[in-house]
Amino acid sequence: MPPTGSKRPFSGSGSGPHRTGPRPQSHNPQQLQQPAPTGPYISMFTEFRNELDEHQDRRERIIKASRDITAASKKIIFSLQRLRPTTLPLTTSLPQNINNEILQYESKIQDLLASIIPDLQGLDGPRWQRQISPGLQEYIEAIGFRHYLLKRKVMEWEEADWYVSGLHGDEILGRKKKSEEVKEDVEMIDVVSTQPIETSSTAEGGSEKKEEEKKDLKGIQLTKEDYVLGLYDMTGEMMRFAITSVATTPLAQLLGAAKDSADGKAVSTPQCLLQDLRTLQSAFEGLDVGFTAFGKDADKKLRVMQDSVKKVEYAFYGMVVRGSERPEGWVADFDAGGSGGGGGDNE
Amino acid sequence: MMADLTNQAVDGMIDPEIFKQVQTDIDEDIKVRDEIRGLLKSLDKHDRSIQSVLSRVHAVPASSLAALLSSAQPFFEQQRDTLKELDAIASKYPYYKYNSIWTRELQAASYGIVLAGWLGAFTPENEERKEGRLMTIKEVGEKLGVSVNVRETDVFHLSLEEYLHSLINLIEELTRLAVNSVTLGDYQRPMLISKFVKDLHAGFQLLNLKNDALRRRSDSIKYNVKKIEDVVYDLALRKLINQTDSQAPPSQ
Repeated sequence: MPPTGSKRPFSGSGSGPHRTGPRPQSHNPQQLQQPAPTGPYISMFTEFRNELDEHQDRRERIIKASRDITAASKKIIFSLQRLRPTTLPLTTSLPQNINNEILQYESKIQDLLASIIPDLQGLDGPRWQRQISPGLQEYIEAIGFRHYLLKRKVMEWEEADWYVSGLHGDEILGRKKKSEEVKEDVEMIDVVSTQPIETSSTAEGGSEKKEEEKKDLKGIQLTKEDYVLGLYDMTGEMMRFAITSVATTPLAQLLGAAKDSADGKAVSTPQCLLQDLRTLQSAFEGLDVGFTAFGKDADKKLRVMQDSVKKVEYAFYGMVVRGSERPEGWVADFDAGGSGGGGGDNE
Repeated sequence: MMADLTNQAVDGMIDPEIFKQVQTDIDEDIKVRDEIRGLLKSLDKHDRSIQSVLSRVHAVPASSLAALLSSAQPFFEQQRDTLKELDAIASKYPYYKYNSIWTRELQAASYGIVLAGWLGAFTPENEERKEGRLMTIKEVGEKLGVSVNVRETDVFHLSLEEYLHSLINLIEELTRLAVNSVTLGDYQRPMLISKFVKDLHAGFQLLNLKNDALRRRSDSIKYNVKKIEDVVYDLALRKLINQTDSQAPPSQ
């Protein structure tokens, strides 16, 4: 676009009073000097630019959300690692203090997920899959680990998918749905207002409309690939948890199975963890992942996992070999958090 | 007592169905990829045939260009047919799930069309062939028989990025053509190319590209612009072209 006629006289008259002094270096005259690009393809490329910018902005929002979800998920994992259960699965729910920590991070994650739902609709879901997937994997790792500690089971894909969809934050966090809050407010107005019927009907109509718009949006899709890769990472957390557990379990209980049960079933928490790690290892080893990008990722993580299992096995070995030299009943004092494992204790 | 508690979930720790399902999905994914790759092989073949015909443009005078272009026609049709097959498979799945597999081939296909179009391959029969036309993304899609730059529905299409890549290919090819046209004694075509490439360059400069292949390649357009300007300068210096003519594009 060439400089418009209306701007020139304005800048001219504007500089009038300052003629004696140095010319004020306003940005306007300089901009006027550079002509807008002209040519047969300018309008076409301007459209392209707008479209590419839109994609780029969306991409950046998603990457940012993914990074924040990763950070919050890591914090959930740290909180879980502070647990000191004597049994697996935990016989009670998570201790209050740890649960509160987790809730705080999880609400952040759910808000982030909800915030990018509009950016991941239709074509854009698979398009930005690679950008969101690190965050989703980390979240799967965190909630998968929690699920395991509470139920001693591997979280199923359907449940994991429900968690990452970004649509169920209210249920997950046990908070009230926004629409319900609005309705309560409306009832309050009803009492005060002189024209209760009109206000309530408009307010309700508005909230319903918003709900409908929300319903049209599909939640974030969890791919099987991200699910599996998240579970791989979870085994690393099980390993860390098992090592701590080995170190903090009295020797007599640690090797409970060998003495107490003839069928070799795991008894102590560390034994449960080792057994489950081995079960998972054999399940993962049986997976034929192919040679796609996912296959390469999965192969790498499988090797990490095999190392994790070995680490736990060595921890057991160390306890058996050197543990007998310890004084009777001696336990490494790891429990800096104090009441960390208190909730699960039953002795 | 404790033994009971700890053992309660051992047997069902993993539902074997989980891994069976994942395996099924992985197998399906690999099968689709193989199927698509099979089609890409024939797309590649058509593309090579088209390129081998069009590359002779550097060696033939403009007068025999019409015959050259029509000899590429059958390959364009084959390409169209293969693309239809690819469309049928690809549209069954989310577009961006597999788009990275075929994006190079689609760039090449789009390039074939924009090059042929620039040379005047698609001028209506009742008009005289004219060089220097930019095929829009929509026109490229029509020639290839595929949708373009789809935003709403999740179907197979030529993406904007793929089209832009093919325009950069076109610029590179026209740079070479500018040089070779001079050798063939055609001093007007470089003028036409110069203006066309400068216009496209102005367009590309409007884009805010992120740091990716498209960005790197579009940054290199300026070298092509310079090369073409050197050709024009050489001609002007020796008074082989009439500078005032430079605004009158057609070389025929």
